[in-house]
Amino acid sequence: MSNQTDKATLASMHADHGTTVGQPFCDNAKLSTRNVDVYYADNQAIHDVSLDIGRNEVIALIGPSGCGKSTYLRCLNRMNDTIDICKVTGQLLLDGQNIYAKNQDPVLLRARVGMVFQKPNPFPKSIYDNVAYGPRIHGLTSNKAELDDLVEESLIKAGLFKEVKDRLEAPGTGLSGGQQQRLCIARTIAVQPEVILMDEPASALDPIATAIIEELISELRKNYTIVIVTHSMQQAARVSQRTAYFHLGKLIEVGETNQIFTNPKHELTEKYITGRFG
Amino acid sequence: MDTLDFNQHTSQSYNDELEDIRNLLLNMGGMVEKQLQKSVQSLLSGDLKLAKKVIKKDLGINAMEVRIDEECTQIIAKRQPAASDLRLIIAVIKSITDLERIGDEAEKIAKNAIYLISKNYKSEYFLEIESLAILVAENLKDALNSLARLDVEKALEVAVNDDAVDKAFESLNKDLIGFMSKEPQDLKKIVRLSWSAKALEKIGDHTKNICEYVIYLVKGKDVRHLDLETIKEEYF
Amino acid sequence: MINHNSITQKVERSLKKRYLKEKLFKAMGFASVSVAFLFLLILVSDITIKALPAFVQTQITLEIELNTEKLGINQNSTTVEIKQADFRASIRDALRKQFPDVKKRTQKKDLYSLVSIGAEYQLRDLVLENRAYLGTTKKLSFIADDDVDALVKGVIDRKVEESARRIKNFKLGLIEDLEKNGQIEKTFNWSFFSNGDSREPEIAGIKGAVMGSLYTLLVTLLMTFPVAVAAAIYLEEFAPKNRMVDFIEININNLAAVPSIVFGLLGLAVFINFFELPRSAPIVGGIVLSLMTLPTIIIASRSAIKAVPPSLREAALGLGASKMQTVFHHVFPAALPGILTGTIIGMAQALGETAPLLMIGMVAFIVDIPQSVADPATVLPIQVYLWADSPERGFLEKTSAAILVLICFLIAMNAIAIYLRKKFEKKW
Repeated sequence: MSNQTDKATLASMHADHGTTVGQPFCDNAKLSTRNVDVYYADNQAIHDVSLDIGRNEVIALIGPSGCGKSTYLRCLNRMNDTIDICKVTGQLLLDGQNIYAKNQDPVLLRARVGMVFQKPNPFPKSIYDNVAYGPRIHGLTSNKAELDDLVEESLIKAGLFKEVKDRLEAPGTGLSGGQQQRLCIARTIAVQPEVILMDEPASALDPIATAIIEELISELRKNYTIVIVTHSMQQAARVSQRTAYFHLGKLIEVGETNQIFTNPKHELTEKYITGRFG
Repeated sequence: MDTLDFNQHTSQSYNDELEDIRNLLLNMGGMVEKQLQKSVQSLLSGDLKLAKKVIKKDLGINAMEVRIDEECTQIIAKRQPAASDLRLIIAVIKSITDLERIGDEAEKIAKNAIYLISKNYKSEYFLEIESLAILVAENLKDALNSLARLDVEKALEVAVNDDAVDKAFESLNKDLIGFMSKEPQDLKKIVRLSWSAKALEKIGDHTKNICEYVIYLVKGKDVRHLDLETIKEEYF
Repeated sequence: MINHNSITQKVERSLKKRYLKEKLFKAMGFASVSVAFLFLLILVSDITIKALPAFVQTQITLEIELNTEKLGINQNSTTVEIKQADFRASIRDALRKQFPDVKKRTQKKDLYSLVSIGAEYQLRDLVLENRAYLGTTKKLSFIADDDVDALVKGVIDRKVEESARRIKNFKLGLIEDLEKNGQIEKTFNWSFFSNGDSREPEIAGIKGAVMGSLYTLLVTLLMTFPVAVAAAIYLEEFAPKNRMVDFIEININNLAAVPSIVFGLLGLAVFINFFELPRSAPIVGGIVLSLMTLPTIIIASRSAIKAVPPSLREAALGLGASKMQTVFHHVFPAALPGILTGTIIGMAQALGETAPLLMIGMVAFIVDIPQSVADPATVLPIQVYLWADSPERGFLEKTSAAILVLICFLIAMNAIAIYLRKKFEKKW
């Protein structure tokens, strides 16, 4: 019995010191982050997070609101740069290259690390132009026919082509919520990124649209590394291979999704996924 | 982590539901325990009325199993339990199956008792049956306690003790086989005794299963079909 | 136990009070809107009623003999020669021929003043257009004098005692004779829209002021729009958040509150005295007005840019668009309806502005219609001011008519603003 209590106190000590329980590191990491701190002005939003994101894996970031999971996600493609008071320290590597290096262009980084947002946010343009926008600004195609092919391919990959093939010139904002989100995913994969960040991609969608998006994520995993922030634990359990639990800006536990949802190691993780937080 | 508490969910009604199935489970455990005790008593003391009562009561246990199953299904559908909650539900669903089987075994003992009473049969082996029954009943009680308190140490102890039950049964059975050849005219009755002993041994096995569920529930590890030494080394 | 009945009763009791308050508020709101609307209606109908006579012009038809010998020109004369010919005499001859009894000097003066002094120019222009008229006798219509006009329109009452009447009995007799002959008629006053300003109300027109306003607004628009939009985009999207930018922001807001006449003084001192730009010209007026309009448009544009949902910016940035691409491909088009609305409101404000233009000399009396931004000109509100200040009776209706034209312009600009907003507005 004493052995067990030791373990329990050890676990709580881990929480206090920000040391992560489980397996935060992996071989063959696509993204590798070490000792990441994020500050909004004087307010520290992320404390000493070290986490690897493996190639072609779907990793889910879960945690209560304000736990820093979205902030961490936005560090990975430097979306936080747009916030003046936000400061990121620590080491963040994409394929061994420092994301925050002086000579690292955030525009180039965002072409490699795409992002899908919580609320579907298609441009107020046609469906075609929405998907074609990324390739156009990056000059990915050399002529109209190539661009047409890329748009079609991206829409097919996003599972939207069948529904919109007859109305590519219709405004993207006229689609349903789920279709809009798939359009946003198509728009992101049209740039052919290596990593896709998803910030609660299905939180504004109905269960059927959510299921379609989740199916899509499993499909995309073959070609992309996906980091998904979600408030739905069932969703995290369904789509991800690994799950990371954030709490008050600290990475509490990382592990195989199967293990996290049946037998989490850390008390806080347990409390969160069983619904014991007020 | 090691002290599970099913009482801290944000949703109070969820707390209540989990509490409810735990109580039902323990109630069922108590009922089964009594069945075992009464069936053995009816056998030993030749109490026909008691034996019939045991057989009747088994229907109640079956109904209880159905009810708990139903509630667990409801919780899974409504709450999508995870982690310890999920393990609790799984452990409950599994445990009630074993409890129901224990009930069935107790019923078998009662049926044997009725047969033996009808033949007005008494034997020196009743004593050995009694000591085996005491061992089994003790284990069952401890197992149910460990389930109630989520006490893995106790559960492991009970699992270990099951070996003693098995051994006691082995020796009793050997004796009974010898007895059969000595007194072939009582063969039918001795076979009934042997069946009763077998039932007790099976109850021991089910008890052990329940202990394994307790370990699974608390530790999150499936320890079925592992030998006890490995379990001890790896998880304690 | 909660006593639901008593709660229902309490709610019911309070309901009455609440609905009463709501009704009261609605009634008050409706009343204030009605009052405002009533005043507007009174104002507009008053102006319209007063302005209506200005759109009608009394014409006198006379039989004119275009005697080539008397005029000293023929069909082959040059334009300059024709322009120098004495057409006044032809008109006077025609009048004398009609009323051969008029001999006294004072009576002759009355006779000649039946038609406007602009009549001779009217005749001259007609001859210039149709040289075949020379040497013939034609029945031609001429603009009546403003007093005759007033009498025909009933502004001067014929039944009033002679001593209290502007038109004396003798002249009245002449007019009534002409009326009997059917030589007096009322026509639509096209010349109001095609003439420049004049001292004579019957030939004074609005075109000079309209053109002046258009040129001024053109200059204002060209000066303000690019500058204001660029400033708004820079401040909203690119400027670092520091004290310097805060200071600029405060100053822009303050600029919007500076009395407009101060801008006029600035224009006078800087553009006219220092840069020596032409006085009274739309170019200076436009520059001065653009200084005044700039903060309005900057503020409107900034709030339009601010209202663009951040999700749109994030979408573009997330795809790897640069800051510049994000702003010009997405934010600016999305903010455009708001920016255009703000611009047109600023323009409408500039259109109605008087004070700063007074300072730079756009209040001068200018007969010629401006042909470029550098020509001396006046603008609509100043025309209103000038005419309102004139003593002649005829200018009263002209003033109202000019106000009406100004209001029509404003309504047209607002309509364009609404149209543009609807056209460019996109849902997301």
